[in-house]
Amino acid sequence: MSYNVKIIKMLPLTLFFSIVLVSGLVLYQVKYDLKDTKELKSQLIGKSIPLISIPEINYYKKINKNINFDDFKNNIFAVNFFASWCAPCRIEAPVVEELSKFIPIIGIAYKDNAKDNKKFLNDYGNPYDKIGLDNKGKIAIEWGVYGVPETFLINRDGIIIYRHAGPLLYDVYKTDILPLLQ
Amino acid sequence: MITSQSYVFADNKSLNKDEIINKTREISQNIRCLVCRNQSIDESNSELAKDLRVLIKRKIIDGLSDKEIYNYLSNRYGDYILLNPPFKTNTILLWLLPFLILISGCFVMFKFLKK
Repeated sequence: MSYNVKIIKMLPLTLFFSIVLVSGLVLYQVKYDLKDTKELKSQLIGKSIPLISIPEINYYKKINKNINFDDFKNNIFAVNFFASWCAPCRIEAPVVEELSKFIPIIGIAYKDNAKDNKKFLNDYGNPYDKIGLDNKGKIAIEWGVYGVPETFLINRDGIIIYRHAGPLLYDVYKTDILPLLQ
Repeated sequence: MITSQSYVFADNKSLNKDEIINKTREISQNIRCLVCRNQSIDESNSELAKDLRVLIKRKIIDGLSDKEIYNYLSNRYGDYILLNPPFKTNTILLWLLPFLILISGCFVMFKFLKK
């Protein structure tokens, strides 16, 4: 058997092992990607806030006013999507309250109504400087929100620097958010 | 699944009501429901899926192309929302591996048959 034939006979085996190796590496990477997808990365990080206007919630009178983001210019501030019907929002309420001692927070009531929202704030406290209403869920889609609660941090230049999906628990607040406020 | 066969205001002159509904479903089948993760928004009954279906229909009526709609969604939710991963540098292996295997297989076969 010539040397050449030997190599050719080895070829399928070599090929098989290289495919196994490559697939293994790919799967290894997928495992890490899956870990990431538990909480999806926001596409808005590093971008300015979406242009869609957010109407302020009306508790008493019918005044149609939009939230003016210019009021928060040159400040780090947070945008928190929440709802009165959302159980994890009750869990995060004390932490959002704590955060509101440091920075202004805009609350956006997702698929909510003024009456229930008012009751929620009475029961769990109102940490918000302004509250907007997203009754159809359209604002949430512009912000890439896939469930409430979600919290965004916006820097002094109006750029979104951080997003947390799910309830803002104390350890997330301490390890992720506080360092960004420096 | 109950699809709202509702009132389509035809701004898009080139498509009739049924075509708009079919197109909405076609695109919806390629969009991942981010709440349930392994379903398309066409199959899912979650609130977000419903909202996205309505939004896709609206965009079709407004005359956006399929590509523009997919881009709109992936700009907000990432490529993960597309059930068919796009051809990009980080997915190049995923797309090319079957062809590489096929080509190398053909090569080996050819070598053997020649003997």
